[in-house]
Formats: sequence, structure tokens, C-alpha cells
Amino acid sequence: MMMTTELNFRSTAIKRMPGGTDFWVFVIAESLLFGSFFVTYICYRSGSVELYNLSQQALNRGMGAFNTAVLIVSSWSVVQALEAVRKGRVKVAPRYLSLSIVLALVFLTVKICEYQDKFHHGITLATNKFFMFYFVLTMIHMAHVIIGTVVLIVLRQRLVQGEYDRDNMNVLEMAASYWHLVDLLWIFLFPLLYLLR
Amino acid sequence: MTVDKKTCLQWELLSAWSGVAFAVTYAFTFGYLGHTLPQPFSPAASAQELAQLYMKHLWDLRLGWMLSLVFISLYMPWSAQISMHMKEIEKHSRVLTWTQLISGALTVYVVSWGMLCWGVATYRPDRFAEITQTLNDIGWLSLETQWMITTVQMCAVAIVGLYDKRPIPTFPKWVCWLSIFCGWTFAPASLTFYFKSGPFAWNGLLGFYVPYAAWLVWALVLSYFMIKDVKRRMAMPERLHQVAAA
Repeated sequence: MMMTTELNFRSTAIKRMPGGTDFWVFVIAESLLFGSFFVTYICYRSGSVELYNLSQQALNRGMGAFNTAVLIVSSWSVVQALEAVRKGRVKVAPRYLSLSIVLALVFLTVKICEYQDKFHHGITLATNKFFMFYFVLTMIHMAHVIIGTVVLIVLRQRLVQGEYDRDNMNVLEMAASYWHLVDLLWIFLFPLLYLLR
Repeated sequence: MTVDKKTCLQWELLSAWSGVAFAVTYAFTFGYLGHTLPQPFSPAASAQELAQLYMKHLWDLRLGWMLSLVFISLYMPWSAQISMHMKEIEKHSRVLTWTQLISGALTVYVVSWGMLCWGVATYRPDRFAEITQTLNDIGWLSLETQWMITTVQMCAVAIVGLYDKRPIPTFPKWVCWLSIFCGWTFAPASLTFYFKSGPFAWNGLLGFYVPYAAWLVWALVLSYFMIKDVKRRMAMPERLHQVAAA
């Protein structure tokens, strides 16, 4: 009886963290790693503020802001997808995931356009320290977006095939947590690289 | 007559512990004797400056690389032990089990090669400084840019561990996710081809401190759970061994 109580408590505790506590080790570790990127950027920036401010002017704030909105909406869409599964509206959920996937592709397209514009003007990650951070941090973030997009595409397919429902959606919750992390990281990256003066 | 079960389990326990021994000896030989702590020799140093550093710390470096080349071999039985645990989960195939084994063996090669270059640099410290610098470069870039070999090892374990549905999994799910995270912290190390200073150089935060710390932490965490699993199996009565093997 005690073991049953313990198992019930454990399963309740796991339900409180979307995707399970184990996956959150990964989420927290990633957050800390990116946090160290941000702190490193700020430390290096404090040594050459004028150079960083001048170089920052080459960035397209409009595109950066647009991409921020795109990712926020895609995160909202993932939330809607999971809500739909929880409410048993499993046929609606894939449409929300499709929207998230399309928005992710829009984000990637805008990012590639930004990079092409920089390269066209002869700016690369070797140009100066600011652009080193700009390219490396946004490319690492972009790699996370690509991985997340692939995961969303696979999960959307499995959702359509009926693999998930309200009692079996742990993998969906893990993917959603990962996607929200990717969104949150951009919400920090954008002001840090594009706006901080 | 074949080797008895008790002896086999003792070998497995030793192999699991060799991960701890590897991490400790590596930290001592690579970190302390190799003078990579508190910071490796800068890639921005000129050939003359680097040659002087090698002369200044010659005895430490020679001893460090000599010992590290010997003790890196501890990674081999340890990697074999990881596959022993994996094969109990990957029952209908062995593809990830063998991938881990291959990756573990190649990791030994990659790390050995780098340390060999550094050892060779200490052999004739009065040679042309540019040659010493070249050997130093090859050593560092060998370790820094061939990270995917070890990342594949770590992800292979993680993937199999995530599919372990046994009542007592060898590797808890959080260990699997930690493995994936640690493995991918190596990725920025490829940027060492581009930078000689800053956080992405081989003496920087993301080129050195994060990836090497992640690798050793992973080795220690995995060793802990493997030791625990082998000890649990050692304590099992014989009839339960037969049931488990079925």
C-alpha cells in the first residue's frame, strides 16, 4: 500500500513538469549553457562598447523583431496543439503544429536572408568580435530551431497517425518544452545582439 | 570450462571503475602536468613564445604526456563495459551497442594522437620554434575538431538508455538527457579552426572549459550508474541471473 502511495505521488510529481523531470535536466542545462554565452558576450562587449555599438548598426532590427514575433506565435501555436490533444480534439492539433512548422521555416528563411545580406557586404564571423558573437550565437540558436522543426514534423506525422492522446502525450510535452526553450533563448538573444547599446 | 560468472562480474566492476580512474588520471596528466589548467597555452602565442613555454615546463609536459598516453587506455575497458549494459537493453539488434564501442575506441585514438604530438614537441625542445608550434597546433586541433566521434558515443548510450523500459533501468532518463547535452557542448569546438583568441579558441570558455568539463562529468556520472548496476547484479541470487538472462 505504501508503495502504491509512493508511485502515485511520483507519477503526480512527474505530471507537474511537462515532459517529465528527467527531460528538464536537459532544458536547464541548455539554459545555463546559453546563459554562459550571454554573460560572455556582455563581458567582451564591456571592453569595446563603441565597436559593438557601431557594428550593431549593420544588423536589421526590423527582421530581428519580426523573427521574435514569428517564434512567439509558433510557441503559442504549440501550446494550442497540446491543449487540443488534452481536450480530446486530436484532429485539430496537427493543424496547430503545421502552423508552428511553417513559422519555424519562416524564421529560418529570414535568418538566411540576414546572413546573405551580411556576406554580400563582406561581413563574416571573422570581421570583428561583435560579428563573431552575432554569427556564432545565432547559428547555434538556428541549429536548435532546425532540430526543433524536424521534431515537430515527425510528431505532427505521428499525431495524424493517432499515436498520441490525452493519456499518452509525454513526448509532445517534451517537444513543446524544447520549443518554448528555443523561443525563450531568442527572446534573450534578440535584445542582447540587436538592441543593447 | 569457461570463466565463472563471479569472475566475469568482477571484471565488469573493474571496467566500470576504470571510467573513474580515467577521469582522475586525465585531469591530473592533461590538466595539471600538461599545464592546460588554469589555461592552455594560447593559440595566439607566437612560435617563439610557445617554444619558450615548452622549455619552461619541459619536465612536467614530458611526464604528463607520457603518462596520459598510458592511462587513456582506461577508456577502452570502460567503453566496452558501457556496451555490456547497452546490449541488455538493445536485445534485438546491436547497432547502437557496437556504434558506442567503435566511438569509444576512436575517442582513445583522437585523444592519444593529440597528446602524442605534444609529447613529440617536448622530445627536441631546441628545434625550430615553428615546428614546435605546428605540433602544438596539430595536437589541439586533433582533440578540438574530432569531437563528433565522442558525441556519437554519448548519444548512442543516451538513445538506448531512453528506450530502457525495465523496472530498474541502468541509466536513469536524466542521465540519458545529460549525455545528449554534454555530447553537444563539444560542437562549438569546431570553431577553433577560426579563432586564436576569445571564447571559441582552444583556450576559451566554449573551446576548452565547457566541453572538457562536460566530458569528464559525463564519464563520472555514467561510471556511477554502471558500478551500481554491476554491484546489484553481483548481489542477485543465481536463479535470478538465469531469469534475467532469459
